Amino acid sequence: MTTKPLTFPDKHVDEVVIFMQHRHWSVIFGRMARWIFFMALPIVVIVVLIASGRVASFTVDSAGGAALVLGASIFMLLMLLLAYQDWLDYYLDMLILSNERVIQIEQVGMFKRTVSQLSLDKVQDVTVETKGMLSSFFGFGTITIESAGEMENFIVHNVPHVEQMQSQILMYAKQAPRTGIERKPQPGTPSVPPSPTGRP
Amino acid sequence: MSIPLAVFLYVYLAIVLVLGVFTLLVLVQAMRFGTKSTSSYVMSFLCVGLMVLVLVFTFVSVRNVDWSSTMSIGVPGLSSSTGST
Repeated sequence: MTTKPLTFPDKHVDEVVIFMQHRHWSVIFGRMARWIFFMALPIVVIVVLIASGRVASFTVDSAGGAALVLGASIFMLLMLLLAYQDWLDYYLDMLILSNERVIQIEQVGMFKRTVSQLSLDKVQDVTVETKGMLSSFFGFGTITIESAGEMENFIVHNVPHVEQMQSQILMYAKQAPRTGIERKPQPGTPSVPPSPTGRP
Repeated sequence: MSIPLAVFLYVYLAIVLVLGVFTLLVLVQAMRFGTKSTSSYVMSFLCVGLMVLVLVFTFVSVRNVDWSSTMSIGVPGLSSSTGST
C-alpha cells in the first residue's frame, strides 16, 4: 500500500518532508472529555425527568416544555461548536521537519495563525524536557530548538516521541549545508521571501 | 406578561443560523489549513453530523406544539394592586 507523500502549503519543489507532528493526543483528550460532559448534561436531565414521570415522553406539547427543549438544543449546539473549534485549534498546531527547515504552526483561536520557520543551518542545539507522570509515561514533552543569531528559539510543548524528534532534527541539522541557497517554491503557490527573523 | 411562543421559535432559528455560519467558518478553516487526513474528515463529519442530529431531534420533539399560543412570564413579587395600611 502506497502512502501519500507528506506536503504542506509553501513547500519547495525539491523539499522533502521528514515529519509533520501534531501535539500529543492527551492534550485534546481532556478538552473533549469536558465538552462531552457538558453535552451530556441536557440529555441526562431529560432522561431523569422522563424516568421520574415528570415528563411523559420526549415530545412536548406545552409552551414551557417547548422553551426548555429549544434552550437545551441551543446549549448542545453551542457545546458542539466549541468542541469542534477546540479540536481544530489542537489539530492545526504542527511541528514540521523537512530537509531544509523546521516549521512551527500555531493556531490561536479560529482566526489567528502563527507560522515560524527556521532553516536547519541555523539550528544550534535541540533540548527536550519531559516533566510529570503523564509525560514520562506517554513519552511526550517540550522541545526547545536554539537558533543562531538573534532569532527567537522554537519552543513547542506536548510533542510526542520527543527524543526521536530531537535525534531527527539534530541529524538533519548536521547534514544541512551552511550556505544560504535560494529555493524555488512549488508551482501554483505564492512565493514568500523569508523574513530576517524567520517569522512572517 | 405574555409572549407568543413563535417568538421563541424565531429566536431559536436566528441563533441556529448564527451557529451554522460559525460552524461553516470552522469547517472552511479545517479544510483549508488541515492536512486532509482521515482524522480531520472524520472529526468534521462527526461534529456537523451531531449538530444536524440535535436539530432533527429538536424539531421532532416540538412538532406537536401550538406555536400560535402564548406563554406567560410572571415576575415574582410584582403586583399591580396597591395595599393600604
